[in-house]
Amino acid sequence: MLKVSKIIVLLITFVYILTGCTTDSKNIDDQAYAIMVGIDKGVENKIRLTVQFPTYKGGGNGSSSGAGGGGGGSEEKESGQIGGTVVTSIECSTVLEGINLLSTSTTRHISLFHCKAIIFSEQLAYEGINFYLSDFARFRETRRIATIGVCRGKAEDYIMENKTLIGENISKSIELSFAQSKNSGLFPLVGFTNFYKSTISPYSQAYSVYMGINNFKKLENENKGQNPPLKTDEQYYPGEVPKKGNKKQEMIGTAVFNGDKLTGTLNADETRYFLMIVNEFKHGILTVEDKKHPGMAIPFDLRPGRKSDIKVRFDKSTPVIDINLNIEADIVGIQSGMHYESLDKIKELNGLLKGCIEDEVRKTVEKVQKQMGTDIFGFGYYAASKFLTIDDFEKYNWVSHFIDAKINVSVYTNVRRTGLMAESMPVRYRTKTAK
Amino acid sequence: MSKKKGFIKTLFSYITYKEKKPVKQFYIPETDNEDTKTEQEKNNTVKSQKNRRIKRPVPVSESSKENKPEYEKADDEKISISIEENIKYIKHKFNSPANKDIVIRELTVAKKYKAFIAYIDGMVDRITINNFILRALMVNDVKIDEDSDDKCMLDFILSNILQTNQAKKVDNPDEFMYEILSGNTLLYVDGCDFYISNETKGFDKRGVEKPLIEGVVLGSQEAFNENLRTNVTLIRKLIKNNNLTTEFIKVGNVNKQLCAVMSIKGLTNPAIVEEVKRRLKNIKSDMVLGDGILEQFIEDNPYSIVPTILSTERPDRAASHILEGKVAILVEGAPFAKIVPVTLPALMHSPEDSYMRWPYGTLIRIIRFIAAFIATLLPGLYVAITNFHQEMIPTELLIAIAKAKENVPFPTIVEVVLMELSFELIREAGIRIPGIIGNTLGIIGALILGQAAVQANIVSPVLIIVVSVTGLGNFAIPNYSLALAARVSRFCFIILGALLGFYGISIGIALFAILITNIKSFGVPFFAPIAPKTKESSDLFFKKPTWQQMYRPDYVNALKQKRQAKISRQWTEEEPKYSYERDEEDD
Repeated sequence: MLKVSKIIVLLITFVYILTGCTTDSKNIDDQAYAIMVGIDKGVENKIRLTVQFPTYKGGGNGSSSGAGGGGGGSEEKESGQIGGTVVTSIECSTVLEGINLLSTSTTRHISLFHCKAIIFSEQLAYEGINFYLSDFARFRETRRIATIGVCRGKAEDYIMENKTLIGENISKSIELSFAQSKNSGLFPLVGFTNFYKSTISPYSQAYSVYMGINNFKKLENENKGQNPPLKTDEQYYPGEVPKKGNKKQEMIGTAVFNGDKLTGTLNADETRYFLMIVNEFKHGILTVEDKKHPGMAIPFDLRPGRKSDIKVRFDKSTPVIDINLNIEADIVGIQSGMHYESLDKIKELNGLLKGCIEDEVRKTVEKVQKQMGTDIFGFGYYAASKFLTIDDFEKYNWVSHFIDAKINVSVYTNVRRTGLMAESMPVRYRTKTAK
Repeated sequence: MSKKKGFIKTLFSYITYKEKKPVKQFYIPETDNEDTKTEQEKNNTVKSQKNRRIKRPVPVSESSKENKPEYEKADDEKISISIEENIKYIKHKFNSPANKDIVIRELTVAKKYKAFIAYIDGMVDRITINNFILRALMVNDVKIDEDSDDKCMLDFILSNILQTNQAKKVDNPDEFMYEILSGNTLLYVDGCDFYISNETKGFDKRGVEKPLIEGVVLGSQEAFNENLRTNVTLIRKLIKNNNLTTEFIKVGNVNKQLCAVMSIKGLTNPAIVEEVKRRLKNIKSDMVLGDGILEQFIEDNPYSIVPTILSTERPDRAASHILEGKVAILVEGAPFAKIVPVTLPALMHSPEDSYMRWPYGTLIRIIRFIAAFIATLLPGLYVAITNFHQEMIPTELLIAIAKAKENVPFPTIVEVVLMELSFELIREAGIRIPGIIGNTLGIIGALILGQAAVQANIVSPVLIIVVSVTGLGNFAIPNYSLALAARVSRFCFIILGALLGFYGISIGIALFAILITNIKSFGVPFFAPIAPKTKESSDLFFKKPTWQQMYRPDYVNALKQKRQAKISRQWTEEEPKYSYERDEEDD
């Protein structure tokens, strides 16, 4: 027993010596937790860093803001807009240097433990962001699940608009707004680790959410024509959605990277089909025009039926990629009132949906492959199994060969449920019954 | 002038030094064993004239092996045949007349034989003595054969006259002294060289009451009391088996506490019984009061933080352990049975687990294990997370904690220690404060203290939750000693968490695991069914249905491993018998 107690004493002493006592310990309230970090191209120096962190005051009244750069507006306006948080910008050479510099004007140590998102401006992303990413990757405090985003315009402006309208809690609203990816399927969600891995990976290339500010200018007030046409496609980029009110922030579309450099973007529609291929599509509403009744829409509630089945083979030296998607759909509505639910007609509906999705998927893949030439789908993972060793695969350099690949897309759709109605009933008027 | 001088003198007297007048105060003189011995020797001359071996006094320097204080041990080998000598001897032994407890009642049996009875006042049942000893002796003159040549009439009296249920011959002075001390009545008739001891124990004792610390909802509501006989009977009531053996061992040089060792012959491994008896017999101490002290004398690892002996106040629990092949030790004057050998999981079990159907029992047991985890680790984890691992808390909660802590001037560790200490204070005070206040103090104290501490910005509200959940977890540990161990180790984990974060807590857990696996309880590794791995237990974390628990615990090496037939519900094997014909429609 004496031996054991000696060992305990020894252990504790060693532990003390080896760990340098407790210099790593920091109290919760001794730190400010950055929830969003934005990186823009600097004017005088390399970058302009914008950091947002919540204050520890109750409610959203007493927040101060905008120490360094300036979001453009008056101080009063800023403090009113960024409820409960402080947004500060600084010009610096590197990210961590900037945070270090910020300590001179912040009362507490700024910690990146709870950084929800790292946002790069589009301009910076086109030039390459690896310098900053690798800093984050080495730094202990970075939150590895922080979302990476590319902002149309300035990241600083985007963060200035980062506020919560529904709840009181800014961090919760950030997290939930990212989670909307699963509900709408209109933008992807990529964590820091996955993004960084993709930039250096031989198997796949990086993509991230594409975001921007909507100034509510797309919503036309004047009704020009008599009958607006039915537009079922959603070819929107951030800032282009015709809407008014609500948050100015908008996450829609995908930023496609080649290595660490942005090469192009996908719009909302393309993002949906892209997500279907990479198995990230969980749920979304798709409206298809009824071919038999032009101008009438059939909205579908889509969800994946199976995981996408992807096979890569080599025809001589050209890679051939077969993509088989399995999508399930529920009928949300049939405007024309056709009895599509009947067993013989449901095939028709299936065919309609299948044709629509297959077409769009093919277009999306082609756009990414031919225009941008990057494998954001991760086909490299499937191709790797055709090589004996990883070395062979790395020598082959999949990323450079992807552009030559032949890609076959086939989609299997299955309209499974008709919603709560088995048949749409016609509307009765005084004089007649609608067909 | 002289007046003024006197005044100055008094003034001076206040500030000048004066020698203290010697005042005689009481003090306890140091006594030499030699001195008392010589006194005793003087007294010895008074004793009966039998050829006694006089013990040489042992100087203190030589008696290093056994520091036996020189109480007046009955050094006599035989009992005098003279009644006067015997009365004198007993009076001397019990320091009569200074000691008023001893009663010696002289009488004449059959108008011929001088006799006396001796007992200790208050320990005996007067009615028994009056009706069945004294009356029997003094009234039944006729029965006594006057022509008997026998010098000693005690044999005859024992078999013909005494009406007590237990009466036996005692011819050893040591033994008869013990008989008197335990509340029996001695009878002596002139001319004999032995006594008769009559069972007349009649001291006051508590009745069988409800268990106080091991209460259950389902199950028996009987608890042990302070009387050894009652306790043994309570167990025997549950195990009606002729092989249930109770062995008595006296422990303690001065107070001679009686211990009962209960086991089932032919089932319990005799090695355990032997070991228990060996340890009990080899306690050389003046005072062994109650089972808490006894536990410390016989446990394997006195330095271990966890108890290695199970203490229970429930006869049903003791009985179930005895039936598993363990040994129960009961001590006079303590309302607890000590069970050996036990393992850590057994300490975490509650008797209620078995009384409930297995799904409920399992759930409650899992909750209890979680409670133990919380009680030991939660404050430590809280300190570690808030000081080192802020990334582990959800952001909302983190900001909420930070907001709440904004006006608290202390670092987390000070807050935690402060709250833990005040919580311990409430618990300790709650036990000491008498009566009704005691029960309410816990709740009110915690509420008021917590609320006030938060309002006064001394601690953050989250911490109140942490501390109170920890307290609840602690109360859910079914064994009081183990709960105390959790309380002690909690502070270790708080320190480790504050110094080194999760790393420190991992070190602490590893150390605890090493310590626990290292100790034994009466030869059984304390972590037994898990490390070392023994036969799979059906009653460890998850409780199998009772009818599936076929074997006794492997680690006790019981003589009968199997405790029930493979198919314990034999009725499932046979067709139900009906005395009537069943219709096809009947179902």
